[in-house]
Amino acid sequence: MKAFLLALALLGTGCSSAPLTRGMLYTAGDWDVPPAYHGNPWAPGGVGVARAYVYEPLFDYTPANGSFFPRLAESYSETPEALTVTLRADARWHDGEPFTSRDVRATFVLGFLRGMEIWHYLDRIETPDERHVIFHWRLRSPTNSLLVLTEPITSAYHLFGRYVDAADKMNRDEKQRDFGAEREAREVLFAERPERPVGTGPFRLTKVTSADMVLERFSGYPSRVPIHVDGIRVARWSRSEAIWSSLYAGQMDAVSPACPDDVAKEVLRRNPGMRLVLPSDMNEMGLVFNCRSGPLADLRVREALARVLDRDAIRKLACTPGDTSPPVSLGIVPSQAERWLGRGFVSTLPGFDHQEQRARQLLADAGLQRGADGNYAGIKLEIVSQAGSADLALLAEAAAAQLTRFGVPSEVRLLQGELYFSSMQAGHFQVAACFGAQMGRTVHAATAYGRFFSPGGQIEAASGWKPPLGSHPDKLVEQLRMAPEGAESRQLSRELTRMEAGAVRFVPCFEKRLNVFVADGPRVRGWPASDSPLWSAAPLGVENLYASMIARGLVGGQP
Amino acid sequence: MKKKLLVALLTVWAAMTFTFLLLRMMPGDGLHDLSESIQRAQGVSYEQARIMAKTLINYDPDQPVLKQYLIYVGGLLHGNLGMSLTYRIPVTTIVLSALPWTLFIASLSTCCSFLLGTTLGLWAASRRNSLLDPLLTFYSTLSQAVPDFLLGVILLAVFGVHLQWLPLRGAYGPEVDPGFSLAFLGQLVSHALLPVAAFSLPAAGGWALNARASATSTLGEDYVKVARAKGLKPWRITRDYLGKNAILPLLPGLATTLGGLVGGAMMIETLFGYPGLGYFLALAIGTRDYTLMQGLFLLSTVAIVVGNLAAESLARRLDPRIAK
Repeated sequence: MKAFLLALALLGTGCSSAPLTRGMLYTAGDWDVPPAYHGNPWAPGGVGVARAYVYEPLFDYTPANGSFFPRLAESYSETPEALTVTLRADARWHDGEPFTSRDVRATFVLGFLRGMEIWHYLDRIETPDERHVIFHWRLRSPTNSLLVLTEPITSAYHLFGRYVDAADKMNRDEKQRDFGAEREAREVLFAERPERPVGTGPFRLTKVTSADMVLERFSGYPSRVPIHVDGIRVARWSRSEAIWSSLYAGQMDAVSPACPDDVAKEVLRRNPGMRLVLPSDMNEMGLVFNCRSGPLADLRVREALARVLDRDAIRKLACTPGDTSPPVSLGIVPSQAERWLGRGFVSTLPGFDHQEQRARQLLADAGLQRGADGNYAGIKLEIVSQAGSADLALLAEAAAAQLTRFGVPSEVRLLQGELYFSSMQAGHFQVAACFGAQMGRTVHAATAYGRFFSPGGQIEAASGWKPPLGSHPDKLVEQLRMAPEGAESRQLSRELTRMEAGAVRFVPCFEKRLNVFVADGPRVRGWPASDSPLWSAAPLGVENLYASMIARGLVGGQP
Repeated sequence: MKKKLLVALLTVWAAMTFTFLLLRMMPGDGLHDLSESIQRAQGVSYEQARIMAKTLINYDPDQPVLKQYLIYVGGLLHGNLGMSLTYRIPVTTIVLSALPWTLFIASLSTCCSFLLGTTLGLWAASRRNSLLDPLLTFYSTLSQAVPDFLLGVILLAVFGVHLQWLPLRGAYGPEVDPGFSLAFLGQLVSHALLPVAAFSLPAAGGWALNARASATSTLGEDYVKVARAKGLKPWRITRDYLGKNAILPLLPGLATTLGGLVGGAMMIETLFGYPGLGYFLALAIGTRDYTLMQGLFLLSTVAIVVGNLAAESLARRLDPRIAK
């Protein structure tokens, strides 16, 4: 009896210790579980989702209106040759050390060892005093400032100084780099494994387990506005179903899982204070054809298959809140078409609408005949998709069903992540459900076109498509990256889009939208309205956006 | 016994070799992800990135298999299971951190299922032809038919999501620090309840059927008749005369079951985010972390072999006729 009572008491203690604390934000994210967890932001694995809350950039960027919100910096000024950033004077690291320009420099110098993109354009970094950093450009690109200003500052000089000094001695000139020395320096840096990350952000990491991460507000954070969130509790993102369960149970305040429409509706029905915000994910999903050999090497067959597919039906099944793509691959995300291509340009392109009669004609022209069973002889497709990615798998299933119904027998094969990517890169597939255009961190067209035209770009490598002789689309992408936004960038974008539209190697189905569930509930409230431009930053890292909203004093436990 | 030990060692070696070869026949390549991420991060060619990845984790899948095997066995003999490809820390570190959780949950589950199952079985045997008998058969059939992970999902949905009585995930909440405090022990119990139930409820059905069969055969023994003739109370006959003798043949099976559970709790541990060996095994399979998989499979093999050895040894001690 005593043992029973003790067990009951223990159980009561355990069950009652899950407080729903006001001012605590409950969310989800991923990290390497202990004992693998460590606080070195540069070493593989790294700090996981804590990065968004523990570190902060110089500015937060809102793509919808191009505005910057100051975090570690106060202001910046630009000349064609350099960017000068003025840092705030009162920022401190979590261990109490003051934040200075040397820390900004340390972050970028160590970033060189990890191949930070900005070093392609950056010549040197100057720190004339503790509050000013000057970035001198080697190559001018419209995205340079954005890349610098939004980079999280992760490396305190007083903690990483010896690695910074070692990296500083290396020659960064592309032609004179010593890759062996860089590798050695990297390995020494990777071996540094502090228990927890030290940042300047509004939250300090206090605990990590295999299931939960807890962060508490950093008392030394010099906020411009009152911050109303006392801490963050993050559930480890093991499976989407587990996140749906937590959402349904009201144990999440902000989280962004892909989920079927009926699940989303049920979650919202059960939690009246919760709503769903649907910002564009700045990427497009569809099917890529392997054009190397077989019937898919024939442009007419690819065009026919594109015409068989009913994109709207696919979108409804795979990503209900998404936006059905235009009937042609643009090489950029459709919602960005007007910005980069100009109004009305898309309508001038050849479109491959859902027209089965035309598709049959094209197949007949390509010499494919229907057999007695109604199926086309000589063509049988396997559509590979990534296991565990619900939207890609549903896209593949819907497309396979439509093709099979038309007379092109098609099957879906789900491949585990790593195998899926390596099969695509090696061209060991016929058709694959995948991401097409992705705008990336800078929401720049060159990033999206790079996936289609730059050597090693995912669609370029997967499709095996060769550009017409004498054309060099990869060089056009590089030109676009350097071109100021305006007439020149529009002309280059149009040229690339025309080439992509004619290739018919990628059939875009829909522009994906993120499902961001946010709850105005007992713990936190104050999430911006669904049409707020702030949500446009969600595809750049939804956790960064939560942190930004907290730092702006919008979200919190206030009444 | 020496012969048994030798056979056990040979079994472990054969299983280890088979696992080693099988993992290398799996499609995919554990280095690919890492190479790609290095390639992306550092702007080097794929070939360069692959060389760097090999150096980084001290593992080369492009070496001849025999050479890899000899290196692996050499490491094993020095107690080195290699470095995890994903986490870049020694596999031994991961194993040592995960093993206590699996041992805790596996031993608790085995004890619970055994106690519940044998109690039900003995009770049914002592009340033959009552309603309890068909009820037990129904429960046993049902519990054998429902996979433990499916039961886990149902338990999670009912007690974690709808009723919110028990935590959804993890081994303990972040509010407490590991240690000998009431709060921590309470967290351990509440977090273990659902996974233990998911293991125990299906397994209890099997134990119940075995216990009933064993007890039924004991019912006709002379010492039970004598106990009845002496006028002992039915519960005492069930506990002291029927129970002890009926449970004896089941005990060796207990050791085997425990050994099996230590090695293979992947679905349940993953479902409940319980940081045991199965949880890490699922992560390792997902990332093609060969070295971690090898280490965990080896441990699983050893656990089952040791479980079988323990069962045999227990059987000899409990029943001297076997030893003879």
